[in-house]
Amino acid sequence: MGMTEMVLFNLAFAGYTLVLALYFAYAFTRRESFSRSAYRLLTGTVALHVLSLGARVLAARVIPEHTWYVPWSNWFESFSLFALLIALVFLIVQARTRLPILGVFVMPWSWLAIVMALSYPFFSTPNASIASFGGFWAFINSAREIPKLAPALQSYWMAIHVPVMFFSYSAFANAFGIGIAYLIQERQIKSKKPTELSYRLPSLEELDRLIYRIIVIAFPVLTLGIMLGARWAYDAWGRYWGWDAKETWALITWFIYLIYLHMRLVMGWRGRRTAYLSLAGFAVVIFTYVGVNYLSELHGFLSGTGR
Amino acid sequence: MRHLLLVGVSHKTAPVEWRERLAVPEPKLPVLFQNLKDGGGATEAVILSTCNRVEIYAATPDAMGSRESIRKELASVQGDPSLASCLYSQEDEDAVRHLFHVASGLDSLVVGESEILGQVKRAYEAAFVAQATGKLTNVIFQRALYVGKLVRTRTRISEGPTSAASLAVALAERIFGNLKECRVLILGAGEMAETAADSFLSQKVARLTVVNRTLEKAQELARRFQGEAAPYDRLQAELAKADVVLCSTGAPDYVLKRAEVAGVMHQRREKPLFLIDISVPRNIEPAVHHLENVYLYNIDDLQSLVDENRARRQSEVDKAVALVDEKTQEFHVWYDAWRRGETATLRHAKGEDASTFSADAAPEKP
Repeated sequence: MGMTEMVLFNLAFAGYTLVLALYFAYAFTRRESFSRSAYRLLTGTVALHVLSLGARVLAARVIPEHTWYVPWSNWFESFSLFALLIALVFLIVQARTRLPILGVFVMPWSWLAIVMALSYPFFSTPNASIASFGGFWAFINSAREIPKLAPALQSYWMAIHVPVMFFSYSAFANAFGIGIAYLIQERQIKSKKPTELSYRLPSLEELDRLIYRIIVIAFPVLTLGIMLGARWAYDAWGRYWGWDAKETWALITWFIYLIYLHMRLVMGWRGRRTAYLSLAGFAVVIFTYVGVNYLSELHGFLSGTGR
Repeated sequence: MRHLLLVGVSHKTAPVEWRERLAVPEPKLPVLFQNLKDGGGATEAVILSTCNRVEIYAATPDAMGSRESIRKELASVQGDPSLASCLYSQEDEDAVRHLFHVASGLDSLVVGESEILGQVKRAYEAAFVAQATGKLTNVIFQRALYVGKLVRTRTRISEGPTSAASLAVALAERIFGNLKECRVLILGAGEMAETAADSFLSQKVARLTVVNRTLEKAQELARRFQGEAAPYDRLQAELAKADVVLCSTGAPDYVLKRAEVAGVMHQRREKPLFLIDISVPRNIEPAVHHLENVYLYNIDDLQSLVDENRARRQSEVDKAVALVDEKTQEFHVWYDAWRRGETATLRHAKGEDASTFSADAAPEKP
């Protein structure tokens, strides 16, 4: 891990934290100066984060086998990419909708992804004893070492399949957050006692349409990602599809969002029920992403068991 | 030594018939300004005339003399000297405090209403254009507009709709966002529906349709709202097209039942439907509210929210009054200095507005 990357990433982490605080400050005070600063700071933070990934690639290229090194090959790196893409998709959502209140519902996931990235050592070595703060910091940073790539990951497909998948996951994360906002607003109005909160949230229709627009764009991306994965699987393991746990769960994710679109477009479902479907979809995304590593022999790259 | 003098009448001191007679129509303003100068000894004047108050703010070297002559002047303009008896008057700091209260909506019939701020602004602008204002009234009125805004942002005195009709509009906005693409259906030709329809029309809804048992009545109402009328047997089809339904028929029981609305929802492909039942007895079966994407509010639901908002506004009054007092005292410091011929500066609160408010600055162009 290079010094430049270390500093850039730390700054980005601080940036995400501050952005989150600013969005909450906006939600409570309704002062637009907060939401404006949050948006600007988020733009800067995303740029810093991209630079830190660049710096990481440069540092990793020193190892001769790392011809196809991309900064999303282990737990730390993939969560870091996840955080970045959630933030990036949210910036796009902001630019198009100008609903800063959604920062409260989306940016926590980006921030949580960064924290997850740093917390890998707690998952890999749960029994480690930490004596001091310096020790704690070193322990955390052990996740940030540049990994030795598993043979299967040394492929240009790595640069294509993974970002496409993560882009769709990040869009689903945005839809998830906005879905929660929708459900809160729906409950407010159904209760016949809408509070202050209801007036700070966007309208039901705005939220419902936004969730749909995100999923309708993210779904083809997910489809493409799975197809690219199948193609890579053919190169790496000699078959397109082998019902490996990761493959199976990716397909389940795909089906849930397919059901969402089917219900909405064909069956005329709207509102609360479709919002629940998008929430369920994202829960499966998270399981496919993290949980499956412990089930899959082939895709266990995050937990270090992948081949 | 110049004084600020206030002479006026408001909903608190006089019934509406009296206020009506004292109200100053705009064409009469120049004459009145001139009379105030000539007969009242006022060097500057602003006349605030709304349906709830008529107030004259004047700068004068002789407060006592001016008060009497302005009282007489105001009454005589309306041709009835006996009206002078219901006028109140205040001077200097009290007059300033009163103006700040008025601008903040603290003296209004519905506490915190925001219309008054615009009325104060227009009254000042009219006086400014007529060249009736001077240093003192310029500073005081611009300050009053600032305090009025400040009170509304710093306290919750203007928060939440305070009538059932405006609350229904606010709720519709929570569901549909901008109402410009909304279609409103009025079911029944009751009077209550008209008030609510007016509020929706002011939001420039896309379409307004009236359905009534007797088509003539529907057509009559539709003409007034420049909407369309539809016969009663088209109700189902109209429901399928509408977003907001205002229901106020004289029917003794439910005209819209759960099963019907469920069918309509299927036709509308689950697009949200906002039903407002303002009829007594109720005309829409309450169980309709339990359908997905259907939101039913009856008059009691709306009224209890209105009461809540009014109570909250009332509970913010003390805070608002304290803020006005603070700003009045702040102003008084400037006022005293200015009267002694010293230069003083008034500033806007930090974080509210970066521009400083200097007493020497020229007034803003209206």
